[in-house]
Amino acid sequence: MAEKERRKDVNTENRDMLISIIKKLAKKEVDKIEIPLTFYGFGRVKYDANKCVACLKCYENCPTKAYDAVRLFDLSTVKNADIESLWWKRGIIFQLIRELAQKDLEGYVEVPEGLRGYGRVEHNEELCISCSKCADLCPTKALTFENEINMSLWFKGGKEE
Amino acid sequence: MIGVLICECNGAITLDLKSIADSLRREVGDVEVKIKNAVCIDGFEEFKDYEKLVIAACSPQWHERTFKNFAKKHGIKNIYIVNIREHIAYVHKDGAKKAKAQIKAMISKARAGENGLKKEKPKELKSVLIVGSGIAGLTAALELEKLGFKCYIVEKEGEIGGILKDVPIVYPFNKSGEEIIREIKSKLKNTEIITNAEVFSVSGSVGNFDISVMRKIEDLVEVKSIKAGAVVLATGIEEFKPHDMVEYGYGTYKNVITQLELAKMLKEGKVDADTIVMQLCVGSRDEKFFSYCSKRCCIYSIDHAIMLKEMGKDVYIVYMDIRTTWKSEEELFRKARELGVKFIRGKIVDILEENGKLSLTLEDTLEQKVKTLNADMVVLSSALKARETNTILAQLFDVETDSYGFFKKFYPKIRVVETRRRGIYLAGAASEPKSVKEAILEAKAVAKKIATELKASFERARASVNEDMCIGCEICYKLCPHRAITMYSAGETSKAKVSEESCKACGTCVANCPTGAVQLPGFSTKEMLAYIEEIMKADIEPKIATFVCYECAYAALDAAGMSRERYPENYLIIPVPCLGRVGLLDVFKAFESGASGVLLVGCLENGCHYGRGNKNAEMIVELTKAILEGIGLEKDRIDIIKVVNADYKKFVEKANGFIEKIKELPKLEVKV
Repeated sequence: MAEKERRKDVNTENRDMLISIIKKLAKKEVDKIEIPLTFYGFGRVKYDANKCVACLKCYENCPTKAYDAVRLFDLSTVKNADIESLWWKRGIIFQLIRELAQKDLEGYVEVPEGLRGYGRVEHNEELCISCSKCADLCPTKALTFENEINMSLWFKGGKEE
Repeated sequence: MIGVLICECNGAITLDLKSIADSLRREVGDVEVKIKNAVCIDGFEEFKDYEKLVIAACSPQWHERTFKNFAKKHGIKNIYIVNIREHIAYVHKDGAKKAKAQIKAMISKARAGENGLKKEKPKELKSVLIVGSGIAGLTAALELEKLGFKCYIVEKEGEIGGILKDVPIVYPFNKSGEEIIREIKSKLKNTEIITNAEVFSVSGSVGNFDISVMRKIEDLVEVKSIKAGAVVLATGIEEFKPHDMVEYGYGTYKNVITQLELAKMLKEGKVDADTIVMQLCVGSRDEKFFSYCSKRCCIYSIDHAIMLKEMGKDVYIVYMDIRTTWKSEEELFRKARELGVKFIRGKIVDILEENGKLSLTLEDTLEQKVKTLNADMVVLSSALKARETNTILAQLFDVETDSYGFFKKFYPKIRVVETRRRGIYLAGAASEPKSVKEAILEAKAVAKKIATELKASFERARASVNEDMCIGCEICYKLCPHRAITMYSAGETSKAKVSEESCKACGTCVANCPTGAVQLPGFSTKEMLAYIEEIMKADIEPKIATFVCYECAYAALDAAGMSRERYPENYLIIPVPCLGRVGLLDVFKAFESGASGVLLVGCLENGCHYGRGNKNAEMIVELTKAILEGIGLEKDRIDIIKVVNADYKKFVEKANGFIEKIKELPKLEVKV
């Protein structure tokens, strides 16, 4: 797959070493642990599809290529979005779609290749190194960082083959 | 082959050095071990042309430079110093095991890499930008000119001179501020003064700053770009206008003025009042406004009082404390009293205005009485505060300000004219209220500092990025306390680059790089891990990995040694340039290799020599605690302590306490 090809040369040597040491030391396996602060490299990405405008900045800039761009526009985001908090133009478009809709806003619409602004991204947590670059770049704060480490991923084993 | 040289130090190192040397020969392959007395005097000719030499001797604080000079002479590229005197022989009853482990660890580190230092090229650009044209800025320009620099002075206002230009008499020069300014300006030959101008963008690093200055000419704006090797922030101070202190009625009553407003009147030589009351400490030493002492108000209030007295006026000074610290200032205070200036210890409580006359209610705290007083004019010696533009400038130049808006010195005792960022310097009252004398001193100091920084060619370690390994996650870029790292785009992703000039080699980037792309010679991941792994093989139980920063913490341990304070030998020392170099990997590697506990020793809260290394370390400790707890281990296994070198007892106390906690915990099991 092309995505696999993209990810092939990403090396996170130090981090892999750290995780393997922690695995060796662990007395018990937990799913997640809460951390008192987010420090670069630790924390958990939270994605809010309702806020996402599919600018694909995260997809393009992620150092470990942890994001997949999904060319599917979820109609329920039109239904769920808080129009007031949206950007002005996007708000109008969503309002129009809502007014014109003849049926319940559900399901997905395929987005033509090359078009931005509609669609979503998928975050592959097992690749994430929590550098917070995506959260810093995200223009709509759809990506935020939580004070949490997903330990289950560490115990499950590193990167997919 | 790695050379190992053990110094006897005239018998001061009371360890069985012979058996240490023997076991090193036996246990470590490919080393040449020698014992010698007084290496600092005789050098080490016998190791001529060795690639790497480990010297086990006293603290590098004593003889690092001596050893480096010998190394240069003998053609040895890398030397590594193990402190077996202050850190071992002086503090432990039987430190042989620890000494052996420390030396072996250093050999492993030497084997894992090179601590080769790079020589920095002298900077070619010989120009300096100075922000502010007060006494500090002008003096700095004058001194820099003498050293062959071209200076640009950027002044926000239309006139040069800062706060000083309004002062009618400057102590101890007995000239008016205007005269002093004019005198210095007339001496300037190679300096361009740009008035009505403000800095609005800055890029580059030491030796090569690109600075854009916006200049207002009537309604037009002219943009001028200046190339400078260094920048001096000499923004000075301004007077606090006490509108908010209702008891004085400043701004409401025409005859309630500030000391600086009086100064302007005195400069013109006319004061329309016969009885004048001065109140000192208005807003300063006041928790609600500025809790610091403005330092200069006492002396210039007394100056003005003497001037007024000589004009035949009645002068009262209401004060909290009179602080005239220099020997000749005290004489001035005496002169004022002799001339009949009346000093009342207390505070004005209320002022009322009737028919142009002011009637004051004041509390006399010596006589413990409430008094009333009539006056024609009340002069408030208002607090001296940081320029409001400081915050904007701090952002532009990427330096720090304190809670009052003054620029933060790099290190308050020994690096007063430096900021966190290399190439940006401070002079005068930009960092705290100062006298003219002190401002001139600092301006001269800053000129010499700039000359040495730009002209000298230092030999020091710098971090560098392996481009092939960098994935562009920007972690180092965000963590670097000196903004030495920049990102540049490379195809699909971006990559980090270290500016050789700005890097101060603290190692924060190395500690937190997820890939291992950033490395610092002497403290690279490989070297550190090799060192940690080896030192944890020591035949001591329980083992405590002690990360010690090379600044205050290392010196504190030295001081503990010098005063022969005993602490357990379980503390195996892992020196780091700054606590910022300690990352999660180093901590967990120590646990994995056999440490039962980890102790981080760093500089005081605001005393980090690299800005925020100890703050980063604190976060690492918090994180480690959370992870330890999460994986079912005891979070008490890690701790951090911040010491200053004089306070070594704090470390010894901590060391004696921490070991007790660790002894109660079971040994860590490591799954294979």
